[in-house]
Amino acid sequence: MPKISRWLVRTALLYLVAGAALGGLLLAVPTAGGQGWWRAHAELMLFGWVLQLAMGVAYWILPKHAAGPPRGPETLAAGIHPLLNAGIVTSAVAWLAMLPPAVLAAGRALELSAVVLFAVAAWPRVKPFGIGREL
Amino acid sequence: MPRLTRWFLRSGLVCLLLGLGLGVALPAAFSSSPWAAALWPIQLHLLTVGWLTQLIFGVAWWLFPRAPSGPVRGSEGVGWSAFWCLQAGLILRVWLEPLRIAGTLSVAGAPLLVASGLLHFVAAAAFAVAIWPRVRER
Repeated sequence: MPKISRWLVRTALLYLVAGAALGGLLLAVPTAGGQGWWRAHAELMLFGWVLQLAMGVAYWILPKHAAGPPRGPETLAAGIHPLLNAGIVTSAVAWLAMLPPAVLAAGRALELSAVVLFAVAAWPRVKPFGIGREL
Repeated sequence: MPRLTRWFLRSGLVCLLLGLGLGVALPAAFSSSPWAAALWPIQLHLLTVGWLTQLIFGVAWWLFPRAPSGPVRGSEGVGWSAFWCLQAGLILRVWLEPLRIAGTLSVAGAPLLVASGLLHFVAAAAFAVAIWPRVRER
């Protein structure tokens, strides 16, 4: 498993635990923090846990390139983790503290930029296994 | 495919069927009733925790790199703890959360609903502990 995937998967596991803790707190005190806390719980679980884990595993397991760096340019993919997590933290804080919508939009823009980087890195690897290896 | 993976995947499929079944039943039977709102979070958690998270747990347990030492897939006991805590949490939640939202949850039921959240937290933490050493280069 490459380093970028290890970072994404480990961070996803941390979000799973944090999101479950927040969910448990909301069951214990349903009025805590208002609607924004429920949204933050969803943010941690859907973007922090599920999306991040899926991206980490896909980056690891999709077919590799036959020539050049096996998983494409690492400098490009190295931006996925910091951008995605900056976006998740910004969005979650925006929900928790009920900050102005512009803060949430900034978080979403960071998440989107991470997904664009991931799509650019993953797109050429969506192919049958072994293609190009005969070259 | 290891036994724990098979249990996660089969339980996940049951939750998927239940979640989608609720998706059929909600608009058909409860569209103008308070139960529609009460059952919506249940459908959501059956699909996200019951199906998606169990699918991830099961496949990760099966396919992630081997543990650096000890049993090939790490501690089976911790993995099974995650499985049973997740099931117990889901059952309590599916049973009690609609009652809370509908305002009919008894005094005795309230701590059990909190316990369902605690069980899911323990399941998440146990799985993270079990799989963490396997998040590594082959």
